[in-house]
Amino acid sequence: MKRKASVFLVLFLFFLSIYAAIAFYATTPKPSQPFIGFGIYSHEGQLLGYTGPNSTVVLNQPNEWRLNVTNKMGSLQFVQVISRLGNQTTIPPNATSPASLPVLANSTMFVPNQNTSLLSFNWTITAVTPSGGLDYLTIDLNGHSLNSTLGSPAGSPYRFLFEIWTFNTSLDRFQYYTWLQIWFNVRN
Amino acid sequence: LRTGLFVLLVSLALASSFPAASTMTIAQETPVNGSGNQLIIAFQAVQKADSLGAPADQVAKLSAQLNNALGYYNTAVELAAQGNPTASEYFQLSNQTSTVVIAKALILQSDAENSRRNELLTAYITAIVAATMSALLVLEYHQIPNFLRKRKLLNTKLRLRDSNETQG
Repeated sequence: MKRKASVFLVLFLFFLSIYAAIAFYATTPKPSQPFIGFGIYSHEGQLLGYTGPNSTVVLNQPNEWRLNVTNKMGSLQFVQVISRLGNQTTIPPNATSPASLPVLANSTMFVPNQNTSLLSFNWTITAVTPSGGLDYLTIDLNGHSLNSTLGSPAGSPYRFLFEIWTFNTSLDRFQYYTWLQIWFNVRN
Repeated sequence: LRTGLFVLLVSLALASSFPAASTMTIAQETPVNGSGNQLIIAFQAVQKADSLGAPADQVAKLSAQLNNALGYYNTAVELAAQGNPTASEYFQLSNQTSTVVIAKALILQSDAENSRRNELLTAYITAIVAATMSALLVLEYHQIPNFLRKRKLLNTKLRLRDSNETQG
């Protein structure tokens, strides 16, 4: 009888290890690579044709862009999109650090997991002011008029830099995530 | 001793089934305005419910409410910067919306935790029952043919032979 019980125990442990492994596999969330997708869409809803031919923006020409944020992080995210104006010589952000340029606009939003949120980025260059050999832009951005503090030599291109920051709940702060840029020339 | 061994095994399996927290590379940081604390608490509560496995449609509803609260908060900040006294009303609206979201998120968290616990319990109890049945099956396999024969014999109808047949 004692031998039978021992055999039963061995068999039970053997089968339990198999069935427990199956249960573990079935109940464990499947691994996935968390990421946030970031895209800028033109008024045509495409990833091209942001400005006129040769990336040229004419004075008072309205540009309607959509900033598309897709959350694949596995849970709800609090996202901040920062836009800055740069020129040919400014140091852009990189994989780990944001740009140190002044902030042009700052938008925040909550994006549910597996969802996409859109932000409007409607802008028009309303004036170009030459000063000290550089051209300074006055931009109407989402209905707000802004004067750029960054100038560029006449004929040189500008660029919008867009950064995504995500809120880290353990640190209670936004953290830089990634960036995009779009170049453009200005024609009076 | 056997019971202790089983409990240890099941506990280890349960403990290892919880996923480890993922990490993210940190670069630079920017502080969030202190008066938006309620909003952040609400966000944390919804995010936790989401991570615990709350239904996506429920989380999406709370997310929409959070965006409303954020809209009120941003309006309040803008008005406060202009010195507009109605800013406090928007701060209040933001706080109220955030408070409602926190309450709903806590319920979602609790539901999600219960659901997860039940799921794990069901899975591992099924594993234990299946292991017991399998062990018994292997151990008592040799008795199955005898058992089947016995059943067959018991189900066999007895028929008395006819007297003419006996004589013939």
